[in-house]
Amino acid sequence: MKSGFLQIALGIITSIGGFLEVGSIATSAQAGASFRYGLIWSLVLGTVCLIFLIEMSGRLAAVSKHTIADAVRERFGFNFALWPRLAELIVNFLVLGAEIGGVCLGLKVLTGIEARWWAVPVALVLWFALWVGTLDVIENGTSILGLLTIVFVVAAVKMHPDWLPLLRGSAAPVLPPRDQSAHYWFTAVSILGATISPFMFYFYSSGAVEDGWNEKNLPANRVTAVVGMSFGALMSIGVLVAAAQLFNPRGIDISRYEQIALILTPALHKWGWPVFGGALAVCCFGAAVEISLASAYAIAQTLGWNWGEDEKPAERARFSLTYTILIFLSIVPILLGVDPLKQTIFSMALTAIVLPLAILPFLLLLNDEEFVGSHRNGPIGNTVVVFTIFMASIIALVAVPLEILGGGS
Amino acid sequence: MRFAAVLIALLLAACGTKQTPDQREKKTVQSWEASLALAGDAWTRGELPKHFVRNAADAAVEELSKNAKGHEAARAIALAHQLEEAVERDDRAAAGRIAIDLEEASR
Amino acid sequence: MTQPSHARHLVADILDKQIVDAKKVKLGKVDGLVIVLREGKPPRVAFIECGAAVVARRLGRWCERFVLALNRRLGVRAKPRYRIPWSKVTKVDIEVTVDVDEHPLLAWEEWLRDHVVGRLPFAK
Repeated sequence: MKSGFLQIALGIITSIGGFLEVGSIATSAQAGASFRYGLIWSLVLGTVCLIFLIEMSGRLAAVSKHTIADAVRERFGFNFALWPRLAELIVNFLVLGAEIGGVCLGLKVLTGIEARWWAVPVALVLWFALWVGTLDVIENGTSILGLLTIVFVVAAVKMHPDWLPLLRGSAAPVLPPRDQSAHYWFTAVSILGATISPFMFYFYSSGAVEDGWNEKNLPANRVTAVVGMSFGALMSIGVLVAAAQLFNPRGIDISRYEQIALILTPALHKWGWPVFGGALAVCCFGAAVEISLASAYAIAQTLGWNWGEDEKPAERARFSLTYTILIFLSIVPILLGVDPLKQTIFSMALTAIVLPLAILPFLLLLNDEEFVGSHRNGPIGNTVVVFTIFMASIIALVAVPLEILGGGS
Repeated sequence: MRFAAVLIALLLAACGTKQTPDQREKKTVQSWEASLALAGDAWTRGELPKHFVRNAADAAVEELSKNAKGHEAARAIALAHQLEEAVERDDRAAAGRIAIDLEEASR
Repeated sequence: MTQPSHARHLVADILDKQIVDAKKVKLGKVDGLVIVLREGKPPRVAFIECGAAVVARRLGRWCERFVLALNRRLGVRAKPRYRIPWSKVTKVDIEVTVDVDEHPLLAWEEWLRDHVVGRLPFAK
């Protein structure tokens, strides 16, 4: 049975891998640059929803001993389960490509060597980490490396933000001039889409089952969900505030990662650029690990294959082959020259569209006695899920028109 | 479905006017001028390596060429090239001057 | 192993559950059921079914035909449809435990292990 520390480590890696990654760093920086503190509320809102959803995936795994994908097929049947799985496969493929692109961008900042050249080496390292690594090593390793992201908070504080406007922006929308409204709401939508990533729940519930959680893990599950996700949120707010201090007064709107890379220089001087490059590469690597595994988990669990990160690849042939193929296919866009940031924004809009379909099962499964017994959702939990589905549906309907209206960059 | 349509209509109304293409172009140019000013200035203080400024200048030229056509854009692109050349030559004084030019242009 | 008494329970309790053998090795999902309807008596499960063709059939006849044609073309040793007699089912709780020789059901897994994954370095 896992010790409390290791269990919380699962929460932190899920958070760092899923929270701070190429999409969230980009959207937080854009939000800070264009609207100062006016969008912090969307990060807070997304985080609250995420905390509830992550706690639920952990609870489902601990009580029913089923992962989400497994439970969805069993409760709703193959025909229903197929559609979210297919949609997620396509989205995950694009997001994985974007994350590997993020690692490549980080390495480009560090070395000056063009991102495309890094794609194959990074894919190989990623594949190798999953191939020979066990869940423990991967969880702990990426957690520890991910603590590096504290630099964003350190930098943000060093840049002397105005605390009152910051708090105001955290509590409620601070509306911009009318001609920037579309851009404001589109950025809010992107932040929500980047924050509530379905692959995080699949990763978390699979880890919980593989680690053999039971009902005794439930209190720690709650702590992990809150602490882990809040940690990630704090780091994202750090990026936003640092961007608000550096870019907003100079009228800089973010459209390329080369601009974001300046973010730590005022606070860390000559250490700013290498720390940024390193932090970006590490965060995106963690996300890539999570997405590749989450995708392979979802497929294997839906089809009833043997799965698991702790066993040797030969003992889990179909599972290992799935993430292998996914990783090497996902680098095709970046090798063809697609801009990683543009791929990121596109895949996040797509994630937002798939979100309602991914979250709906939570409402039903977590109220089903057969799966979670007496540990059903309370009224607060259900309200949050219903609200999140409602919000996700609006995002799905609205993201495309907003982009057309000129909200996107 | 009707509810969704009403919501979208409200949202479209709330979003108000869009920036004109001219305004947006001007913003893009000013944004990149300010970005390069930051990068150039940081380089003169030894806080950034050459390849960083080179990448930033290349990105600026790429984005400006794609999204902006006017006279200001052309001037910004020219300054970006000058900055890159100054950095390659290790000419701190020149880079410093170009950074100041860029910063003034961006206001 | 006694059977649930109502047809609806059969579907709810058994369909789409994980199939495992005595050693907890995952053999697949219960993709389909073959139920015998008898007059005056409760329906009885004759077989649980497993395989690509079974799942395809749930999506539609056209899908099943496509999968069968593909299987003929590829000529893999794995059959697209397996039937496990109900008599071989030993337990039904969160998964369905069966007492069968696992090899036919794991044909793809073993083939990939031997011919692809096993040939890559550090796989074993």
